[in-house]
Amino acid sequence: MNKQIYLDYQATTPCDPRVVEKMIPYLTKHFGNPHSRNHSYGWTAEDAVESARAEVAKVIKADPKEIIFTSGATESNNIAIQGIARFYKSDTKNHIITVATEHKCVLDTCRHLEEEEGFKITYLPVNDKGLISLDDLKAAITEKTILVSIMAINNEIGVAQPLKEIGKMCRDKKVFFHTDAAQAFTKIPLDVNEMNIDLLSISGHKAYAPKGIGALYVRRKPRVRLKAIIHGGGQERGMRSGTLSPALCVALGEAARIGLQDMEKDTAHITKLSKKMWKGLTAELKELYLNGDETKRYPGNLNISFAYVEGEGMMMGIKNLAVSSGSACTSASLEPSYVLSALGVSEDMAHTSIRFGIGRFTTEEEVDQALIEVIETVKKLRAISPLWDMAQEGIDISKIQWASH
Amino acid sequence: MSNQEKIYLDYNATRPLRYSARQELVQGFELCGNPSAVHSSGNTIRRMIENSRDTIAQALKIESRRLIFTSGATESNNIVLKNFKGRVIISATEHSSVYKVRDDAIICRVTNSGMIDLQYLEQLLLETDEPTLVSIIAAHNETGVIQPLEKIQKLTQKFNACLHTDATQALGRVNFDWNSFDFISFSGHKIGAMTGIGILVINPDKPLCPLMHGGGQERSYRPGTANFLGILSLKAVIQETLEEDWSSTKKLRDYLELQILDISPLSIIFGRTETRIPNTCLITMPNVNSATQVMSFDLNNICVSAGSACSSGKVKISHTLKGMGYSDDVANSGLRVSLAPDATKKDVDHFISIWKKIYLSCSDNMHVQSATNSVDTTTHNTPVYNNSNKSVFRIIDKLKSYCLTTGTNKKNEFVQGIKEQSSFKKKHHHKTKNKVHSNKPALVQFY
Repeated sequence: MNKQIYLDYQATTPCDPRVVEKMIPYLTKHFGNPHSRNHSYGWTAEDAVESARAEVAKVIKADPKEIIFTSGATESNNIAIQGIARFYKSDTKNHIITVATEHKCVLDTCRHLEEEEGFKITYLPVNDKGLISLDDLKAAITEKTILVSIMAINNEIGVAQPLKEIGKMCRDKKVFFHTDAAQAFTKIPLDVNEMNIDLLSISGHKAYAPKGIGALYVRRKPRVRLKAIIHGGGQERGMRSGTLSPALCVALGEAARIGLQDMEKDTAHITKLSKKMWKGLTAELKELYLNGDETKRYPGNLNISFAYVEGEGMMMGIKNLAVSSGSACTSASLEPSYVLSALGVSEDMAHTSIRFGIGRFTTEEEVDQALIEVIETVKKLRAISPLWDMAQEGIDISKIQWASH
Repeated sequence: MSNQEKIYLDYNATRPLRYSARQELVQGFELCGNPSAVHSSGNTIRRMIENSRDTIAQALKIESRRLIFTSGATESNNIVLKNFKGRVIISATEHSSVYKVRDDAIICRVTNSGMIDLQYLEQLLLETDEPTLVSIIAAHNETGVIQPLEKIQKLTQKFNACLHTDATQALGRVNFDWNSFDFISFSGHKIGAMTGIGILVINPDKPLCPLMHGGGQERSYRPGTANFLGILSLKAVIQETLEEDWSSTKKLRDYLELQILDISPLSIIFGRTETRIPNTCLITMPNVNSATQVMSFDLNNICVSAGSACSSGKVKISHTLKGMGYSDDVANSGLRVSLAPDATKKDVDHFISIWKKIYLSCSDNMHVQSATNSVDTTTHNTPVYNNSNKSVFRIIDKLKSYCLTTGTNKKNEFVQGIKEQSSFKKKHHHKTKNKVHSNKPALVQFY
């Protein structure tokens, strides 16, 4: 096999051919600037952008007017958090609550606000299943709290936080609720009204559209206000200046339409393959640990720790599979994943964890092939591992006093 | 009426994707992988991005580590200006993505023809030893005027200030030594690459604080997963862009201007005495409001704009022309024509004939035409909307016929724009930006 089997759908997804087909005319024929409001090239582009906006809105049951297009979820998260923090900051309001397992761009933005702009940040812990406790959240919200930012589905371990309960609590306490839904958009049902979400970040390339496009939902009633971070022509209701790319907007719109239309079908397909993968692995291998809650999770993400297997050896052994051993943004480094650390996963186990991402275009054959390669590699690595032998003899590895050299 | 039959003379707003970019994208669509991932699918993408960076850097004769990919020139401009710690000096005619970033920006005046006042700039630089950033647009998006960046660079060097230039319209149309500037913003869609991709050239030795925080991509200057397709399209078009021949376009532009001045001797061509990029012409049609002109041209299948695209729908006076010292009346009758590199004389002739038709349809101009050339030069200071309600109705009549012929649903927007404009109170230009801001009329909300 020459071509890699792609099992990294949380890092990015391939463009859906239907999305490509829909966007191509906007790269060629309808090339107008959507902000040129006084000739028909501009209008064609603008109309396309507006229908795409409506499709995106439909997925989360929002009004199209509440959607602004951005360059991706990183930008959406930055606009949401920085924008709201700066707009509402005062002597009596300077507190933001987020979670230790959020995406890097949320944590980095919060850290920046904490270190440079005098905000107080609470990083909520998670339990060993990766879920937050609502009591912790309730206790953390104070008079000074402006914003709660909690992601819908975790990118590394796939757990789904209780958005509806969080939203209700935030609304009751009159604080804004932002959710990074990069991994959840078109994957699970989202309803900004039922869930009381005030801001929601969307990424294109995690939902079968190209890279370089995303969106941010900003509630209009009750109105949520933001201080823009990019200024200029005043596009996107002044919240995000810069010429929009009609082709990329159309692509996101089409991806949204397809995602909503096929959500049930996709979920059934992905659940089936995900179960097959997990059953296949557990049937042949012992000492596997699924990271994150077993039920409150998105099935397309299987983050598994293989005990007594050396992480790098594992990655080399399954190099025919495109998988990640952590969030893509940080996986080029060899530090243990901060998400797994937050769950209390030991460093050794974190190093041997692999994220299998299953998506719309994953096939049964690919899963079969992946199973063969993973099982073979794990068995081989364990066969040469003294630790595995010791564990099989009943020795508790963690209690061993290693002699220093 | 389909777009194919239209004449597109709005190349400064955006231009079609070049053929080479389309071919590159066909290949790009097939690939999947996050450039930050360690597996080989991610590696392939990362390698392609880095190769593109090298190719572009080589073409621009800049070290490749100085190139940062962004979502466009607006973002590039914002990254440089927003968090600069110190004084920021900008020209009075900057694009709004520079002009609106800092409320505390010091405005350097320009001459009547849109040229930066170098003496004044030097004076501003002399004022303090504070860290200073100077941001000057290389070639103007509306007037096409090219600034003497080499001279500005010498000045900033002398005073140890940083120099940033928004070179969105200059790339491929002016030969600058790009390597000599600290910061440069480039846009993809203005050179025939995709929309949604841009470049920021940085100087690693000069301070720059990012706008966004996240995964540390683009060496933390610009986090977020890179717009892979956009980058491929940029790589594909960069060489052609730099080698593009605009000489015939320049001839056509000059021809167009002479023909129009022949029809309407009172028309003002902004920046005509200066060196301009070869395809751009900002010209007034006396007594006819910009919005009316643009609508009428569109009725005749010609796409032009009243100014930069981001503000063209808002029907408000361009700060550029105010900055150059023109009154609202003059600014309000301006039209920007920006030609394609392959524009034809046939298209230009057609444009001129329509121009004449629109010009003469205004009764005041018929009068001018029949009079001798020694007509009172103040006539053009009487724009349509100042006369009386009558003139507003005249515009609305035109609009009605427009809507009838095209069945467009844009009527409400346009009517609102007209209403806003007719109630637009005359204001004097203030040198301080804050004043301008506070007097800003409520913008029409289109969403």
